[in-house]
Amino acid sequence: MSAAPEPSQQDVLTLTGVGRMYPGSPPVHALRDATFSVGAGEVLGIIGRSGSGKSTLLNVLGLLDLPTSGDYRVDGERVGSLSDHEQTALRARCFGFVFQQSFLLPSLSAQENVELGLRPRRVGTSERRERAIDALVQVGLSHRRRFLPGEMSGGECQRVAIARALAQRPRVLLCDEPTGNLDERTSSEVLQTLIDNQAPDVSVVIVTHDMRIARTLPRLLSVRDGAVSEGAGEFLAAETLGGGQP
Amino acid sequence: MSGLRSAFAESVTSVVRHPMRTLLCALGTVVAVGAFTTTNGLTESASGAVSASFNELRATTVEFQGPSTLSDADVARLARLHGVTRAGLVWDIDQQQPLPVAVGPTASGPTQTQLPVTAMSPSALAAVGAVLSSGRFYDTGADLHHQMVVLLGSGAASQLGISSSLGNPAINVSGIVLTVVGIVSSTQQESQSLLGMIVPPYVADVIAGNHDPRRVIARTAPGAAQLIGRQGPAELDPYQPSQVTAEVPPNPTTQRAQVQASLSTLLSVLSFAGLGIGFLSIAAVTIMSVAQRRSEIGLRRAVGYGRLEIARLIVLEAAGVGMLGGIVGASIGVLATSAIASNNHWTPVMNTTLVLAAPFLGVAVGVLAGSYPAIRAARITPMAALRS
Repeated sequence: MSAAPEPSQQDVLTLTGVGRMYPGSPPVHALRDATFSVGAGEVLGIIGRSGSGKSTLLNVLGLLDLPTSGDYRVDGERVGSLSDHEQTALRARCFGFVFQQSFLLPSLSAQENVELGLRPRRVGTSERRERAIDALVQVGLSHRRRFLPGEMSGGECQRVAIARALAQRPRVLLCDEPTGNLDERTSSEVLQTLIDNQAPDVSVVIVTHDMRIARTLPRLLSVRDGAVSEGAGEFLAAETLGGGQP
Repeated sequence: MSGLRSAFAESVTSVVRHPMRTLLCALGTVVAVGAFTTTNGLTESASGAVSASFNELRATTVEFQGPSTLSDADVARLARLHGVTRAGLVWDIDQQQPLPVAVGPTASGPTQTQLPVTAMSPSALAAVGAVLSSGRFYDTGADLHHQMVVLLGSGAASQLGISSSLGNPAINVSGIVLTVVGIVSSTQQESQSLLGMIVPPYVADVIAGNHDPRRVIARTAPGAAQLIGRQGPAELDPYQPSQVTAEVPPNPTTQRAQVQASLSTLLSVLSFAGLGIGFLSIAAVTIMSVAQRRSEIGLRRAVGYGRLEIARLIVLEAAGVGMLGGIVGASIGVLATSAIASNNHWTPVMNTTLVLAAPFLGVAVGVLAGSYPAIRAARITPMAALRS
């Protein structure tokens, strides 16, 4: 992926030669020369074996980690020149996250967990409540809104996490192995929830090692030893690529 | 402003929803503020009790001791001082060595024993606050007319089997017959005299032959004791006033100030120790809490919480816990002070300003103790936290 993409007005994320190196002896190049873009409303899958660098790529995309080389732009804004505070604001404005673990706060109800994502956006109390309930309706859990995470199943918790991300109304939804901890049936339900509730202008990036899921996605990027390439490549015939964590 | 309100609401939720963590965290502040309030309350109550315990009689009695024999004329000069209400001579016969006593006019009467004898001038009886259970006091006339009379202390009367002075029973003291004119039930000074006999100066002279009074007890008006203590020696012995010693009661104001000062020092030490414990407790539990909440902090950072918002949340939680600890601690302090004061028959006295300020003191401790963990929490990167 050496050819730099032409930034289009439709592109939300644009990466040009982006790399992430972790210092050490020897240094680890978790991501090398990644060059691609993600358009508005596009659904994209990132596949790769365990430790290939796909989660690092997702973290860089979501501003949870910063590239050590290359140029990364979100909505045309160069990320490298932003302060920590500006990056946080950009992250809050543009990205929603669904992780392999739901990361629900155990002392908060489902609705309060969904509202948590709206607090840094300075959304008023009543609007926050409305949006949280709407998001829970979208994922089919409005009847469980007062339940604590400990009172719900793993699949339900993950759907609450999706609702938390949806309620934020992000430009880009980043999902890191969102079904990694779930059984096959629940996985397909959760994935369906994710795809069904995607607003037309929201981009979705899903990191997965499950080729059954990957094959359902319209566009795939494969990561191998930190190098990103377009398409499923050698993984096309595989069932699963093993391991969820890099 | 809405951000601060939202952070406040979140911190309240966090404090309420994690009762065990809140309890552990608040425990130190409860102890600290409780100790602070209790020690302060006890200081105030004890100071009040110290004032109350200054017996009026003790505070208005001055005792003089001369280098040589003092006379009624010396005492009369002392009594003329403004502020002296009563004064009289008191001395022990044979250094309180008991003398043989028998009931009846003869030395071989039915009841024989040995009793100490105290000599007091008639005015001294009033000065020591003697109270009769039977009969009357001897007076100056009786002494001038060399009446052989005696007053029995209640203890001595009981020993001799004399329950009343009715009929003026006679006793024989070292072969001298004395008439019992009264029985003294109590005195506010010289209480040892209740165990023996009290005789006027002439009788003392007859019994022991060593009329050598050197002690004067003076009662003063309230507040005059210190002054009389300074002026009295010159009246009693104008030639050698420095040889006359005066035993004055401690100045209540000075003593109260001394007691307050020592209690205040104790208060300061205990309070600071308590607040230190509270500080360390909140800091330790908050640091542990931050370590346990890494993934929560990571998630918050991922969804858009800035470093400042994370720090503010932790500090507000610590402040909330501090306030809670302050309220509970102050309540316990008030109850403990009331209980201890009541047990010691003191009037509980509390500084209301301090009690009302206690929750804010807890907040201050919480904010200070929560600052370092808050800085640590703010430094946590979302990626590292989510990975953990």
